[in-house]
Amino acid sequence: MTQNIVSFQNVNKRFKVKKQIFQAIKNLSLDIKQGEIFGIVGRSGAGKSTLIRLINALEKVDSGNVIVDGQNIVNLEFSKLKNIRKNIGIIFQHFNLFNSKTVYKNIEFPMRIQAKNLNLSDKAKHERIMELIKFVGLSGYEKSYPKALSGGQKQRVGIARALATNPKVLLADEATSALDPETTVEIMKLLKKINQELGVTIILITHTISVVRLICQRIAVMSHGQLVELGSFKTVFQSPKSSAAKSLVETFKILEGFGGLDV
Amino acid sequence: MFNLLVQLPIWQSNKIDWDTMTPALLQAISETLYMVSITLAIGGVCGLILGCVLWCTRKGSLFSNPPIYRVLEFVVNLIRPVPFIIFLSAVQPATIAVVGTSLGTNAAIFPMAIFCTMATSRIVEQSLINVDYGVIEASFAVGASRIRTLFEVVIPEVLPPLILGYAFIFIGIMDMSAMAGTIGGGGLGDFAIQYGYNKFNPVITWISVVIILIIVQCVQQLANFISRKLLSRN
Ligand SMILES: Nc1ncnc2c1ncn2[C@@H]1O[C@H](COP(=O)(O)OP(=O)(O)OP(=O)(O)O)[C@@H](O)[C@H]1O
Ligand SMILES: [Mg+2]
Repeated sequence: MTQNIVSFQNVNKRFKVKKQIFQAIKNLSLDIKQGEIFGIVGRSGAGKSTLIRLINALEKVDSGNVIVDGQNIVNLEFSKLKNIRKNIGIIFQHFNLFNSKTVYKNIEFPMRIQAKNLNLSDKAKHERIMELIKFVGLSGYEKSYPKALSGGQKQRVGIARALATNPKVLLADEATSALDPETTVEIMKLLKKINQELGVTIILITHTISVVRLICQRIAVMSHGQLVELGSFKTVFQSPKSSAAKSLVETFKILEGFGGLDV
Repeated sequence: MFNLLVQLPIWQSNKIDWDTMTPALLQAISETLYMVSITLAIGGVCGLILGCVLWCTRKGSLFSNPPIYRVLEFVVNLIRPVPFIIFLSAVQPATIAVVGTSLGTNAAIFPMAIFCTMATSRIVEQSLINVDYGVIEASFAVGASRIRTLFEVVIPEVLPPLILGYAFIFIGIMDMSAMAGTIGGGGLGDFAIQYGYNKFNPVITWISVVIILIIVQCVQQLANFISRKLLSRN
């Protein structure tokens, strides 16, 4: 039986903006299995980013549990949270690289922060960084600064940095939304390779249907902070039940050329 | 035309006695450099710290603490607009308490350092505000603490604008140091007033001006160079 690497149990998340309370995640429960590539789709504002940011506690839940690798991360003290974060890499839509650091130093940073947990010699660390740079296809760029890289190259650095601490889970929040289609496919291939060769569970948010179809084993559809549909791409796509999923599938069909624009 | 210039009374009536003037000038230069560098060292460091604290305690920042922020902001805003020459007199009791005297070069450094701290803190805070929050999150996400994020991510990110900010501060300190002459601080400002203005010898004043311009230009060019070097990466 496959294990759950991430479990949400009755999770609620509220934001307070100018005395107004906004419920971004509503009583959501979801299990993500170890080793899968899991896609999260839904309209803008559905709460997708908020949900995956709960996994590495960039956002804190108001109630419910978030279990990561067997440990409830709700209300963890910082030192324990730091250990958890070693096991969770994240890549961002706008890369969020450290502009003042070279490619090499960007990848080294997480290893320095997690030095105690990783317990690597300087030599082993150096070798691992060079290996990662090679793995993401950036050999020769170790001394470059992010400014000098293309979007696709920046995301490769982001990926290498996210993998630096040897995580079990990789979170990808619209990781290809700022990239052209060819680069998107290259990054998707890289993510698939990471999943297959390193066994890293990948949880990705995307607005691109082809991305979900290409690499996600299961998808979740979110709407207004709730999980409205869950299943394989095929199941959800062929027989959407919720209105949110139906409307999403309709849109996808139009974009993929299965229908026209009726105005 | 040239003849006319040479015959101007300025050049004629006030023959400069270089034997006495040269040592006085050299001393003035060294006093200015002394005051400015000590002020920049103290005020620059204190300002960096205060600026970081200001930024960190802002709402939604690393150590968000609105009450502390409001108090510090109030103090900075209170002192900064005061004309320096008035501030200099206003803090006389404090200067005596700290330095032991309110006259001389060291006595001038005290108010200069305070003023420099205030100005620097604002420049540091402004630079830090421009840091993309995504970069800070990327640091948190790999397990970095807030302190390490501040020192290893945030501050390096703002180094290029910060260095230009310090060049700007330097010019402000040169300006303050000229006024320090009024309390016996010495320096080029004092030199210009004493030997130039008071003795109706503008050439002396102009020499001071040229030397100040040279110092400022050197620092500015150096700052531009370093900043550009750093900027070429990010
Ligand atoms: N820090 C915050 N403060 C206040 N409101 C927030 C915050 N973060 C998110 N929200 C709100 O929560 C809701 C969900 O946001 P979230 O970013 O999770 O949506 P999303 O599904 O990722 O959307 P998108 O596809 O546009 O990225 C939005 O309405 C947003 O305005
Ligand atoms: Mg989002």
